[in-house]
Amino acid sequence: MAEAENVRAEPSAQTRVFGEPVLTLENIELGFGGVKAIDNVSFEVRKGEVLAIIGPNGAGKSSMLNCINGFYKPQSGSITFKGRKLPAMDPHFAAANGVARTFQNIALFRGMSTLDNLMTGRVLKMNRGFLWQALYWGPAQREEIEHRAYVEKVIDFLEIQAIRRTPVGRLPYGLQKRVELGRALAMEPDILLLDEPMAGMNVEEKQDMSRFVLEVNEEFGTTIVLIEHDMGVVMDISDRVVVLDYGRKIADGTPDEVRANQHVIDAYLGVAHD
Amino acid sequence: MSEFWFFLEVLLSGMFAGTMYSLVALGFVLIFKASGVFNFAQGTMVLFAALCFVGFLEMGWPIAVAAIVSVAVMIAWAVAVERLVLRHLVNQAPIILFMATIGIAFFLEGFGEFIWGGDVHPLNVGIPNDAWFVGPEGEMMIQQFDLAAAVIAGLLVTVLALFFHYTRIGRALRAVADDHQAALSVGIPLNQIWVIVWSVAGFVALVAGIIWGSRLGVQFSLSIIALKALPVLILGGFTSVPGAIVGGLIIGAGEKLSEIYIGPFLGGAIEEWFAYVLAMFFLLFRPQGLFGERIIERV
Amino acid sequence: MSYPDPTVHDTLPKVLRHNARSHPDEVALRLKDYGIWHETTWAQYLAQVRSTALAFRELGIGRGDVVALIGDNDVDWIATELAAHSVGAMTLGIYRDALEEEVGYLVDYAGAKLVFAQDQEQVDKLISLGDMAASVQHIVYEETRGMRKQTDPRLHELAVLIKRGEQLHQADTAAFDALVDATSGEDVAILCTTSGTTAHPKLAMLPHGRFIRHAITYLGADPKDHTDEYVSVLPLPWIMEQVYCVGFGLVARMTVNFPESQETMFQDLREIGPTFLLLAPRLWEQIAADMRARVMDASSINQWIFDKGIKLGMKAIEEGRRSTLADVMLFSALRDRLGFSRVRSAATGGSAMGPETFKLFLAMGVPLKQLYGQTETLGAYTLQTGEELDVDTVGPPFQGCEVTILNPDSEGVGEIVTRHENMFTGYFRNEEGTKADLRDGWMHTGDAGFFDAKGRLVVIDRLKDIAETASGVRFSPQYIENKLKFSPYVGEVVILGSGRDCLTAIICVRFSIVSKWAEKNRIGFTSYTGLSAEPRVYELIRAEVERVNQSLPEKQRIQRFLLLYKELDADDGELTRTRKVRRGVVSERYEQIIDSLYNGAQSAHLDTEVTFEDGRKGRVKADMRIMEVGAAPTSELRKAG
Repeated sequence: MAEAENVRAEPSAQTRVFGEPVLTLENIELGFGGVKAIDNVSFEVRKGEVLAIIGPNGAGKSSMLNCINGFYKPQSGSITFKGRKLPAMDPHFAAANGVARTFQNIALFRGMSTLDNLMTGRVLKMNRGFLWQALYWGPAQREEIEHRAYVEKVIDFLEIQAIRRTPVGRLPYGLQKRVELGRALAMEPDILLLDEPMAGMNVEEKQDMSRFVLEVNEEFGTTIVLIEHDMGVVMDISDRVVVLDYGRKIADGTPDEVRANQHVIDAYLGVAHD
Repeated sequence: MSEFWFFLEVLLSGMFAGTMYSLVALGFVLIFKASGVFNFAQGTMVLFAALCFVGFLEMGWPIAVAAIVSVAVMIAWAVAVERLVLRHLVNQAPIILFMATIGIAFFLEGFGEFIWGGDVHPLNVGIPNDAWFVGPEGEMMIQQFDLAAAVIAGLLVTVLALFFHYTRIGRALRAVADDHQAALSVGIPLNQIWVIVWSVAGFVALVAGIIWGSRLGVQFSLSIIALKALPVLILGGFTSVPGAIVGGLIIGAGEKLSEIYIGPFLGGAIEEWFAYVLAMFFLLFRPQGLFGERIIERV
Repeated sequence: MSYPDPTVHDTLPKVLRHNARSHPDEVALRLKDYGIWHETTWAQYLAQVRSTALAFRELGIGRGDVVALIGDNDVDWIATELAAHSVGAMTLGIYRDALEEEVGYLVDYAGAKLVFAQDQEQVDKLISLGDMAASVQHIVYEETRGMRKQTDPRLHELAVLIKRGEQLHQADTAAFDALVDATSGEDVAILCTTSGTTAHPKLAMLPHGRFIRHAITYLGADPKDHTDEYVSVLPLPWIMEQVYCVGFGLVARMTVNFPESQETMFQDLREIGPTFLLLAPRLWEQIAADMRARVMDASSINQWIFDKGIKLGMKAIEEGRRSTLADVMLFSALRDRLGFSRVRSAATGGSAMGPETFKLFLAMGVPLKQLYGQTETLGAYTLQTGEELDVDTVGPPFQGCEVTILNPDSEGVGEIVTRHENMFTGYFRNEEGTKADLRDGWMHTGDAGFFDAKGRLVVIDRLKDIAETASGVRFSPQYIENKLKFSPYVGEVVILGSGRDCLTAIICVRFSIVSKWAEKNRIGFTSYTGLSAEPRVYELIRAEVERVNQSLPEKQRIQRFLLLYKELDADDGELTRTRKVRRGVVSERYEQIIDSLYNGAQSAHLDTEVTFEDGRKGRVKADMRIMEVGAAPTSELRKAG
């Protein structure tokens, strides 16, 4: 994966220091019917890091993200988030507390423009009570302008000015992915969950996306948890890697450590790498 | 010459009647757009809202108070539907939600009868009921009532369109309509959205109920006439507000014109089934309706 | 029209100062950023130039130094340019998509002391040059994004420099004026790269006074004033963009608008509704092609209106009038859509333009005029008058500009040479080059052309590109290429035939249009290469070639063509930065293919090395079919196959 090399310049991953854990998952169990999607998995996410979750298809990676933002409720285990120990997250609670995400199969508001899509990311930042919005024109309008200004910064950051007014359903795949990232960024998240942000992209689009992910991390200090199949990208941009296989965690460490881990080589790298 | 004026009269009166279909269809579209639920109970909501309104009037309340309380009842109804039904069916298949609305329809009809009784209630809210005669020699008759109804319907549609496109709630509503999961992930409160949509649909139902009730009296057959909204939806597309309007006008005018001009050759009573036949043709040739979103697949 | 007196205000900073004093609150520049147009008045413009200049002086930039600039067109670019002029330095604009080695060559050759690099991308180029950019003592960047991790001690943030400059101004309010007073009209202001279609560009030295005076000469043929709105879309290092953004901007106080990004250009253009516009022929052609592509998606009623309107309008233009009916039914809406509603004057230049495209815009009511000139002559010195339909010439010379045809042949065709008072003074550090091109005060353009009966100049092609077949048929490849390029399906084309027995063509399909056409016709493809190999696409293009052939003399017709597996690309050196075909590179790189076109083969095989965007190299192998065009091409093929 030579094309993705050198995306991260100095300082190198080894010299980066990370803060407290912002999210701790302990003994998470999740099953659908008889199938165990996640089997007693524990790991923590530290402030400011780029953490990759990897593993073969069906290893429980997406389920893990869904637990973190509250789409799934684990049957047992706990999630400690911002000092609160919870049995499960709730999507609204997660969003309100700075967890934003993207989806494996792009989930955009297809009929709406790029701008409107990004504006929905500001829903929780708007102070005016939701039900009162329609009635208070003045303050609501001022607020709208404020948030529009922030959204414009995101548009500039992601270099999507040209598609500001385009209904996203008409955009090519790579750009849709970028808009989806934009919607998540508009939420000013503390933790950004990215579910295969580079799936289906060509080399150039992958480079762009890698650059954006790293710049988000560096410029805003956003903690990033991502699922990705492209091992080149993963090894290149993440500080730490958690490896899942059949719902269990089989490794957890820096890219170099994981690369050298025999379990990982057996379970993953040798088998399912395309 | 008078032939022409007569044609115009039939056309207009048909279109006015059509605005009524449009109003009911509008309620369907709102809920369908925002929650993907095909709300079978919309017709019953028209009936129920009208029953409440006329009931309050009969209790001697002034019109304004009756209207406000009726709106409040419809909002309470929306909250109840969300709490008791929708909340428990999140992410279920559309057919299940559809079935649920059938249940809601039957419940509401029975509940309405239980509270307000099964009689026909005449309703008069002061909409003028005279006729104007237009044309060089007054050949054409226009019912003021029809005109007033059309104006009210037009206003309502304009307000709703503005609401959908220019307010934050409108944006959130469209977001929820597009993708539930994504809407949840940015923190749009789905439950509140549903309450809002059902409340708005309830409000639209109330307006439709009052106008219909003023013309025909508030009676249980209202919920059946409301079924005419189905062909309107097929014509206009399930997700299009303008579609609901234009669909209603076409069905209304088509019915009346065919009754007058084709009816005699087929033994009359075309009005009863014309709309459904037209809808069937549309299903065959343009299933997405006149204004429905074209289904574009991107590979 | 009155312009500032060039004997008093003889340098660009002096004119700026004059404008800022006489019209401080008038809008000079507009820039779209974060979705909003931001205005800069003359006073603000001057303030930024002043602060930047004072900071530059503190960094040790002064008379005779070279300041290079690289980045997108924007306010900071030209304000920095003028700041450099204010301290007596010369400026050198570098195309923003120039590769590292091109940047390295220019910076090194000119000995640039300070480089203004817009963003991280450009800064990275400079830093990775290492010793190749040894002369560079300061790198000034505009955008802070991604710069945090850069530690190069030469780096300065523009905003910080401007703040520093403000302090310096507060400390000594007369300092800037003294600097500006010290500038002289004889000083070289701009080192402008020539658009070399071969090798490295030369740097033409353009002094302040000449630059200003020539702008006034030009304005004599096409007047502008402060009510004019211009949208800057062509690269600022190019001479004409300098003449308009800097020259006309300052001299005529024309408002210059900078779009948000390259991609938003057409939307931004529409928002501004410019009164004056210069686009390269390629861009005009792209607009025309996009318009046609959109119509292909439209309803059949709209398609009918479009076809009818075009037909009516084109017919009227050929008869020397405009069709009111076509205007009502089609063109006024088109103008509005494209942002051309207010255009009073529009120009095209840099290379020749397809006559059909030209007529299309005239029909639309865009008063498009061809201009002609070189970097060395400070840009245009001929311009069409617009008095009658004229698709062939570039108009008469400006007042005071002499143009002659050197060594004309029997038909009056020869090399175009030109002379006027305000030309370049020579190439920077290149005596030999100066002597070769500037003889006895005449600029030898290397272009072949002639004057028509009305005294209008007709430019045929580069002198050395006028080709002759083995049997002695003279032809201009570019002329035929332009005819083909008017087809919406053709992106680029190279006509071959010099020294051969007949003409052939290498064609690159226009992906945006042909892909849409393919989708519509249910032809599956996965890539540009796949699309180009598709038999039905070959048939499509053959029809286009046959159409063009019909308009050509028999001996100049295209006999065979093939569809290239990729698009010609400036990054691969196949096109210049202004997107002219580099024939040398093409004929060298595609030698195998070209041989196949002439040795009776039915397909061409290619095996070549390519450089990717990130600088890596790789090998490419491709097979392309060769298609015959002619009397009975299909039977011919059947026999062959």
